[in-house]
Amino acid sequence: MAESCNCTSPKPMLIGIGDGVPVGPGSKPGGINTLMLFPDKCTGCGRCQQVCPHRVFEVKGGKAAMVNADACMECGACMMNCPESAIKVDSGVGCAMAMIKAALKGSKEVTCGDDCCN
Amino acid sequence: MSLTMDTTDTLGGKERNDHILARIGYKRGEHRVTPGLYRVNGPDDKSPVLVTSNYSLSFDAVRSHLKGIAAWVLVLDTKGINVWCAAGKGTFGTDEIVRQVKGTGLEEIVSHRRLILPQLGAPGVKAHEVKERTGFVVEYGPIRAEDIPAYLKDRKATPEMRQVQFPAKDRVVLVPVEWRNYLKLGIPAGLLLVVLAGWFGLGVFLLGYVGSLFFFPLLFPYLPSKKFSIKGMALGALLSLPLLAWSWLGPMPLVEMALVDLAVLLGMMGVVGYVGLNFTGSTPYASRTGVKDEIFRFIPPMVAMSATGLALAVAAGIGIYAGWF
Ligand code: SF4
Ligand code: SF4
Repeated sequence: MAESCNCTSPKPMLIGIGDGVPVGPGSKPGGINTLMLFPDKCTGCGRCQQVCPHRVFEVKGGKAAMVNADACMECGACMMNCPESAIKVDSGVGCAMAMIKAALKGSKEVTCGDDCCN
Repeated sequence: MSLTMDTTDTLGGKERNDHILARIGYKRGEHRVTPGLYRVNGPDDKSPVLVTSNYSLSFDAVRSHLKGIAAWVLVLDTKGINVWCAAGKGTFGTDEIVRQVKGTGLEEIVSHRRLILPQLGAPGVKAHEVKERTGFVVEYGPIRAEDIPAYLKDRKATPEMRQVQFPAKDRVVLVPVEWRNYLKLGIPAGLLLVVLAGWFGLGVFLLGYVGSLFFFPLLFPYLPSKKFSIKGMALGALLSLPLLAWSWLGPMPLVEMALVDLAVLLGMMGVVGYVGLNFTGSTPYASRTGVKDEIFRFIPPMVAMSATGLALAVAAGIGIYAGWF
């Protein structure tokens, strides 16, 4: 990881600095991120626990629970791989350089890759 | 009908050169291998299939950790971008996996129906959709290529293998690209400092540019606070200490020294704070929401500190030439 441009941030999507966060009836941690789990939909398959690089989830008693929510880096892996759509996160690139550049250019799209960090 | 390619589990001088060039950011996006299906150590229809990106460093990391292991390596066309970044862009993603599985005729080559993906590819992939569209079950393997042999033994990743880490060696390899990224700003600023302030200016440049971009990644876990901006400001203060000591040892008059010291301290804190904030994208920790919050909260004070530092430095400079002190 972390090679061609020093970026390691996954999931560049639309960002607007200051745009809103989708809110639903999920359980949301107090920390500063947008991760939400909807336990009603969860079947306890364990995919989220498997893909999360920060050990945010643990499946206990047939349901996923957030055990380390503050460590979430909003990469979106859990949301993408949850077959029940029980997880929602406003995923995006956690890269100040990309966000500042996009803000200066007035563009809404922030990506990393070829033209990042130039 | 399908075309497979042969590769080895060993890296030679050619690969090492390519890796060095990639690390200094030379010809970004051109460190690529041809996408498709590769044979390592004579695999058969029961051998595992490992999926990776076509960034040469990613591909070489996978195959060089298959020492003596017969396997297939399915290389996706990620345009020369590593797995994690490509997963973010979606090029390491469901559609490309489906395309390569179909294009290489994988289902006729292997008798099983399992693909081993790097865990860090998960942000781009919907595993259940890959299953629906190809019949192949996605298995997420370990984050690090060095854990592949252990994973292949019983197809289980320990919690440690699933946890992203950011050890010193991963941080330090980022330094050359960091230096390169700030070159356009750093060189003119350095020249200006040397012209205006001589050896002392050179010292400011060396600590503020060469030093901060080296020490920030190196000291990253030890700098105080979880906020990248605060870590940067703390390092800025730390790096200004040798400069303050230098000015105390010199023959500067007291008022001038106070101005210069304050300028150095504020300037370094502002500038290195920004370096810290910009390091967010290089780490596997920063979330988009967290970075947004830091931008709003810390850029104004960092600009204020840098501007005040600059103003004090100018005042000290004018003072010297006008003989105020
Ligand atoms: S991936 Fe979704 S369904 Fe599976 S355990 Fe996690 S939240 Fe529950
Ligand atoms: S978004 Fe990424 S870091 Fe956050 S909980 Fe999901 S998988 Fe873990």
